[in-house]
Amino acid sequence: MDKRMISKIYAWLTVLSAMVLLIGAAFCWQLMKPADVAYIDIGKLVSGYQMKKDLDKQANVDLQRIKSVSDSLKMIKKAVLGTPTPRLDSQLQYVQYAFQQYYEQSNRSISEKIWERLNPLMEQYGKERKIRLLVGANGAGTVLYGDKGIDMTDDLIKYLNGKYEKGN
Amino acid sequence: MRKVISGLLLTTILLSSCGGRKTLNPVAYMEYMEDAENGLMKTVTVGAYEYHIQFAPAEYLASRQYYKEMEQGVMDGYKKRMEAMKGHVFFLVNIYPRKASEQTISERITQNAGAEQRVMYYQQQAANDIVLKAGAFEQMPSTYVYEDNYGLSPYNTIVVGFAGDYSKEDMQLIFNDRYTHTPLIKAGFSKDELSALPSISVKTN
Repeated sequence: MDKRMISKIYAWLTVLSAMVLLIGAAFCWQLMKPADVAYIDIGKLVSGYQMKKDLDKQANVDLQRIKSVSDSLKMIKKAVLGTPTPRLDSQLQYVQYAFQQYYEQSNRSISEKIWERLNPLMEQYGKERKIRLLVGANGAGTVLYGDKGIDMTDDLIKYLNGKYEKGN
Repeated sequence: MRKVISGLLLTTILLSSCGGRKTLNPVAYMEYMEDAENGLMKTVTVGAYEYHIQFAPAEYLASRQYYKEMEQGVMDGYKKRMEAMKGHVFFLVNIYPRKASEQTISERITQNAGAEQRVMYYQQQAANDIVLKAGAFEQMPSTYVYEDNYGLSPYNTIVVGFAGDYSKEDMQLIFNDRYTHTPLIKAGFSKDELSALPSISVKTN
């Protein structure tokens, strides 16, 4: 083979390897590229958020206190079985009502507080991860099908819990 | 000659890899402390409020007060202040209303009407709602000041101090703000962030 032929082969090989590299890089970029659209399982997100767990724990302490009063009244009622106890009955009714009220109110307030904290952080998360649309799947049909690859729930929970414990 | 050069090179690499504490002048030190990138100033955004929590060791507070004198090499005030704050760690909690410029007049009036209540809470009760978690321990504040700005600055500042040396532990400041109904405002500072704290260099005359 003469020198010309060899240099031609070299040139072709260089072009070919450059093309292979380019295609490989494009393929890798496509694989590594963050998803433009992702979805979040809202139920899983809320139950996995540490702040929700902490607030639930606090509310449970108060609920337990009310429940223990109600249990004591029930015990007294059992002890005086057969005797009419209108005052005790109304007290018991009131405590049970208070329990129900507190339960509902604390649930509402926990949910409010959590979303107050989550909303700005989710915006930040979306921007940081370069996600253009983040859809919340709540089991009511907002997301009918989602590829597991664009389910960012676990990643978001990790992100939010980190921000919750350390601040931003 | 070659041996000498390689020896010098090795020493330089070894010394630089030791990664000793940075030394900064007072102004650069304050800038370092206030730069969120360095992890010593945390932000928690909740609803209508933003809490900026600044880790503030005695050096930082004293520098803020005396940096002009320090730049001239006058250290008396700084030293006195450091002595007074010795053995304590401080945090500055700045509470900003978010988007204050977007508030309507009626919202501002409501806020002003609540000013007295706000001052009462932050001056008298808020100290009981702040706790420092360091390692396995929880500690209540040993010093607490609410700086009343009389509506002259867009934020209110709480200075809270804890007795003890916490430089070797992860720390977490927890504030349950009962005035704004914001529970569990947490700011965590890791051992690594604390051990990377720079020291202050001052030119002396």
